[in-house]
Amino acid sequence: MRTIWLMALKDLKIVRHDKVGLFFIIGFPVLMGVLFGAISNSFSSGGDDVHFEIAVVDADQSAISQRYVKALEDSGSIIVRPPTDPNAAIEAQREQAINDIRKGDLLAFVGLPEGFGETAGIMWMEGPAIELGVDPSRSAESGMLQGILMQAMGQLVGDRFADPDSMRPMIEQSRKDIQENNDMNPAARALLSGFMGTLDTFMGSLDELNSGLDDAGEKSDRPTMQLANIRAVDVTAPKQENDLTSRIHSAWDISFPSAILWGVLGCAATFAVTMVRERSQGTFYRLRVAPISRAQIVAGKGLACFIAVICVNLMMVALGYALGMRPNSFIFLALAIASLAFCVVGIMMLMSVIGRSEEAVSGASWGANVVMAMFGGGMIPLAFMPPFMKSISHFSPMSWGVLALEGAIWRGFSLTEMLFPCGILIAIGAAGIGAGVMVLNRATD
Amino acid sequence: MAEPTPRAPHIIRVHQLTKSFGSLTAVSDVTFDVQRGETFGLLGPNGAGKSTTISIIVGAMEGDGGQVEIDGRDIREGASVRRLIGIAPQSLALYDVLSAERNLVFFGSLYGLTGARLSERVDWALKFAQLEDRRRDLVKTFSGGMKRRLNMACALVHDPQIILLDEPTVGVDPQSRNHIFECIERLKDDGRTIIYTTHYMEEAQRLCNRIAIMDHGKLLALDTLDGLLAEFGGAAVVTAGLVKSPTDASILPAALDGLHLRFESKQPLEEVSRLATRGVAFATLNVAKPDLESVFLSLTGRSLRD
Ligand SMILES: Nc1ncnc2c1ncn2[C@@H]1O[C@H](COP(=O)(O)OP(=O)(O)O)[C@@H](O)[C@H]1O
Ligand SMILES: [Mg+2]
Repeated sequence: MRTIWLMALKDLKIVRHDKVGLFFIIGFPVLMGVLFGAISNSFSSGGDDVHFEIAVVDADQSAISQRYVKALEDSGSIIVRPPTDPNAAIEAQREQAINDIRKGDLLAFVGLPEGFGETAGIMWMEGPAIELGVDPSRSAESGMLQGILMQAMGQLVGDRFADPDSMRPMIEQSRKDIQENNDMNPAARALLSGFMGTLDTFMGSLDELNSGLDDAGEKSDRPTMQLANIRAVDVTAPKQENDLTSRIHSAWDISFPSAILWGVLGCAATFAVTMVRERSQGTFYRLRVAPISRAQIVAGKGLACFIAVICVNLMMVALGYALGMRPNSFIFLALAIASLAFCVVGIMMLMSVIGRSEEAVSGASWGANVVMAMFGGGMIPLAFMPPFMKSISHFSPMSWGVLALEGAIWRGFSLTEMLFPCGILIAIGAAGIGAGVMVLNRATD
Repeated sequence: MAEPTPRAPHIIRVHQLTKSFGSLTAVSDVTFDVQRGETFGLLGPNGAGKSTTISIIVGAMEGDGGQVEIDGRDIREGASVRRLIGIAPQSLALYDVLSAERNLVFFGSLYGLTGARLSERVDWALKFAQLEDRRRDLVKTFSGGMKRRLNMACALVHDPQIILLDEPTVGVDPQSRNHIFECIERLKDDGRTIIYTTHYMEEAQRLCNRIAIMDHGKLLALDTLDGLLAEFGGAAVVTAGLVKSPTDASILPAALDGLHLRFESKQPLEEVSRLATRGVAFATLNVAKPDLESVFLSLTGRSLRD
């Protein structure tokens, strides 16, 4: 093991001097991640070109629910289609919206449940879920839409707490409403009455709530700082409710998996080149006559690549986190990253035996990288891919990498769901290592 | 008295080694033994098969046929045999973007050196390579000669018993070359076994106890320098300018060309003094004793310097 470690350390030191490699491993993914994220951010917060037409079925009809609809419209990317018959029953409105979506008339509908206004924007209250039904053929937009729903909710939170003074008249009004309205749910009445008192302690408790953030993936009775509780509604089968709760917290959630891909592909190509360079500069000769086995040579190279991939991922996750990316599960993320790293080692091994010269390997590797990235979500996030590209993407190992990362970051995968892309990644890695080692073992010079 | 542990008299045995690349036979039925503590020369022109032979000996390449034994064991037996060997390959084998020191540390560690022993050996190797003041500089900034010296130092850093140097002086300036020779002589005095390949006969002549002459993959002759000269060197060539032609021209071993005399002899000095006592007066005198060049010429009909 010491030998393998020595070999890996040596390679990492060598790659540190490889300016071009470093750019692709570190600089490029950062650029891509931030760029994509920034584009998507502006996209979802005020881009003029994109408008999602949706229907809002407001079963709550409260001041807060109306504010929420206004916040959605204020996002700039959403047009709320007014109901054809405002006086129709809520259930009928919902039916109508789903029908419109199915006909392709409407992108989505957002259902604000009864009682929405009582808890929306109060973070320690887990209110009834917002329904979201999206045209399945336009699932690309679904992620963005969820982001906008979150943002609008965030605004509500801001409205409620950022500037309490300005909220006072509204709260006074609410108090009056409570007193005047005898039909009101007593629990809600108590809640709203206690609202002003709670305000003071809110800031203090915010920290504590924040610490619960990382466990957001787990189901717990403890309220989490999940901005909006969105429940996806399968519009193709309205009777069946899809329980999957999607949690895209920011545009960075979408841009970073793609960006990470570039980094790891950079690792594969860079370490593949160090492998041929080992031969072209003659050091492979020394390694072969040294008292170490071929397996150790290969393992050392693999370990170096593995470590580099892990480092790129950690760096990107840290950067993403700083920008606002909030992975659902860090444990799954670790699983995804480790599987991805193993896969990349396999790809690296294969690349390293593609050609005999540095130029050949470097050229072929980067060519393969561009193709893999293009169809794997490194250029266009998978979520925004046209369908034909998406079907090709299954052949790119990188799309499985993205799926695994996304599964951990925002798709809210269960362990079984995670194991699928991770298993494929590991299988690809193993195949690559096997093939690479076989070719390498035949090399005699 | 305790019996000394029996050790094979030959530390390296090469038996009927053969290696082809496609239709080209690079090494053909090569057999030789190297004795413990001996400096063994492999002399031959480029393409003779020296490097291929060396590569098979150290286990960097598989032969098509034949056996190699290192200290009584097969090189494929593993680490303990490999640890005995240090090789400076003919083509440089260094990490360009690492410093001289890092290269030495890395290769030293591969052979199991650690801690104080490692830094002691690295210091020794840096001194050997005359790179103490450039230890932290990247190899890519080095001159050809410096790289050559470091290439050798990397072979020696783990203090091996058996040292294989494949044309270590190619591209080295004369000053470094002398330094390298001195170092090799010191290693020799230290009892190391050395295999030295070269296409410079002067080097083989100066350093080697025994010399094998290779050409076209075949080992043509193997002996000490004197043995080779005696067997294949032929006669010495004497050329002289005489002050005047002797009265009795029959005492001369060859016909005069004007005042110039040229003849071959196995005992040139005896012949010259015999002529002198007979009253032949020499104006100029040149005795060309046979060397490895003449040995190679008589073995192959070609010059080594081609
Ligand atoms: N890897 C190889 N592939 C094909 N031919 C080779 C290879 N290595 C050496 N040769 C050929 O084998 C012959 C012997 O080469 P080599 O052992 O390097 O000779 P030397 O070291 O005496 O100059 C040469 O003709 C060379 O071209
Ligand atoms: Mg050679």
